[in-house]
This record gives sequence, C-alpha cells and structure tokens, in this order.
Amino acid sequence: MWRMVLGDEPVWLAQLRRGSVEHCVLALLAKEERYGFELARTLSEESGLVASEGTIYPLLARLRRNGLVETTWRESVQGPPRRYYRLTEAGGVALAAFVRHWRDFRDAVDRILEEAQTA
Amino acid sequence: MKTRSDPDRIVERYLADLKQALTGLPASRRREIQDDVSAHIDEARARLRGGDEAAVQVLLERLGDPEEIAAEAGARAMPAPRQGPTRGCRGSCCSGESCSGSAGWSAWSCSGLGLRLLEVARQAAGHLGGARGPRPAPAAAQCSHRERHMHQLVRPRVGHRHALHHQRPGRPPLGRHCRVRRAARRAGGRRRAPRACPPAGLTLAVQCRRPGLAPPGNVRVAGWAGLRCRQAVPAKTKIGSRRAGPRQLESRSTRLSVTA
Repeated sequence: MWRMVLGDEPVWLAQLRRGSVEHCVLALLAKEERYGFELARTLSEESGLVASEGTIYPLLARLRRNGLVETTWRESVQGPPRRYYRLTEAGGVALAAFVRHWRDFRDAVDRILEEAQTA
Repeated sequence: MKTRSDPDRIVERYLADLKQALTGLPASRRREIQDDVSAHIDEARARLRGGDEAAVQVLLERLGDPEEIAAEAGARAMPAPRQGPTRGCRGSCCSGESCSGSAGWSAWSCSGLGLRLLEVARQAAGHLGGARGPRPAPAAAQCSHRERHMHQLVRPRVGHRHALHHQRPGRPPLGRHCRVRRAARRAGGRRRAPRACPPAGLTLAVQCRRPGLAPPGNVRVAGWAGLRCRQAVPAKTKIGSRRAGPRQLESRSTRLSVTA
C-alpha cells in the first residue's frame, strides 16, 4: 500500500521538498558562489528544505553532471580545501524556467485555496 | 604508538558505512560523494575544534544515515538502460570494490532479464559449471524487492546468454542495444520452445547482507510477466553468508533464494 505518511511528515510534503530543493540550490548560487558545507547548513538550518545535510552532496553532484553548476577548489583558512559551486548559464536558464512555473503553480494553488475558504 | 580517539573511529566507521552504501554507483561518482562528505565532516569538526564523541555523533546525525545519502545518489535505484553496448565484468570482480562492470548491470536488468537468466542458469548449472560472484548488496535495513533483485543477481556465463535467447523464440524481450541479445544473435544457435512457467521453487536471486531481514510477505516475481506467468514466491529468511564461496552462492541463487 502506498504510504501516505513518511515518519511524521506527509509524503506530499516530502515530495514537494524533493522537487524544489534542486532549484533552491540554484537560487542560492544565483547571487554568489558557495561551498558544499555552507549550502548544506543553509538548506537544513534556515529553510529546513533538507532533513539530512549529507543528501545535498549527491544532489550537487547531479547538478554538476547536468551542467547546471560548475565547481572550483579553493584553500580555506579554516579546515580542508573547499569545493565552491557556481551557477552556469544553463543553470540560470533552468532556474528562470523553474521560477516561472513555480509562480504559476503557486498562484493556481492559492486561488483554489482562497476559493475554498470563501465558499 | 599513536592511537585513534573514539570520535575518529566513529567518523571512520561512518565513512566505511557510506562507502558500503554507495557500492552500486560507478567509482567516480562514489569517490566524489565520499570526498564531499568527508570534507563536510572535516569542516564541521574544524569548527567544533575537534569535538568530543557526543559532538561528533550529533554532527553525523545531522549529516544523515549513509543509506539515505546513497538513496539520494541513486545507489539503490534501478539503473536506467544504457543507450549503447555495456561492458561486463571481467574475471571475478563482482564481489570486489573495483567492479568494472557495474554499468553492465543495466543490461542485465532490462525486461526482467536477470530473472530469466537465473532460470536458464539453474537448468544449465549442471553442465556449464563455473560461477560468478554475486553483486554485493547494500546493507539496507529494509531492502525492497527491486533492490534485492538488482543487487544479487548472479552474473551468468556466456553460455547462459545464448541459452536465454534459445528459450525465447520470436519474442525478443530485450532492448535493441542489449548485449545479451546481440551475443545470442552472433551465436546463432537453434531455438527451443519457451517454457510456460518457471519450475516450482525458482525465485529471486537476491540477497540483503543483513541477516534476519526477510522481505515481508510474498515476493512477486514480476520478471516472469513476459512468459505470462506470475508467481508469488514465499519469502524465505536467511541464506547466504558473506563468506560463502561463489559456487555456493550461485547454487543458492539458482535454487531460488530470497535472502535477507
């Protein structure tokens, strides 16, 4: 049977997170380049978009393989060298498309919810 | 003599678990993720100024279960069929880390091929002999049927591939690029009538490395759908051990072992 609840979290919420977290990473990289640890902490602490910080690394690897981000290694004054991620042109295009679709999606859902509340 | 502290050991164990969990991935992707996670731990520990055991435990909990990371990386998902010829394992590399044929498993997965191969392998085991080691399974707490299926199929020998084709006249179930089919065509052997159903007792050759975790209920052998036969096979607990030799494992698998 299809599970409706994953732990304490509804499955739809997990799927929603999962579907949007990649583009949130692209959005975080749109302003400035960041390294993996920083991205993982931002996504887990500030936004709660990832439950486990480690899962961000396969995601970043996938974005890199798909040419949406590129990386460079830099020395760090604190700790080991860091792999910095930067948005590519293709990543920018993908992000722009996501933003467009997301807004349409969000507006549609909002409209329906508002109608339901006023009815 | 320098001794390792407990936090170091905990981190080592975590990274070893991660390495194990990522076994299904190509080596380059596996290394990349291991390096990233390792760098994450180093960075976090540098911020903690080393950190005691409890702090390291918290750090690893935040990082997440290795299985979870592996699942995100797709190490436990069914690989997509490749669009070109795939390389197979050479020698007995399947049981080791440096399996050059990991990509080749996508060929074995097409159209439930692996299960059919097992049927053929079971029949041919008597005269073809020889064995290949099983593909190591991820140490998942609860393996799905599909995962088990993917990770424990015994790689058959060349003769088995030919035999497979002979078993299925007029119904090439395989993709255009599947090397099994091409190998069979090259072999050009005679055809036999297909079997209507797998013989009783044949099931999945799957193994999850943790003992005592049998799949719940019955396991449907969906791979036989092409033969118009769906057979529910009772899950069996237990079977192979890691130390079992390849021949033992093969004979277990071909006899049908849903192992936990």
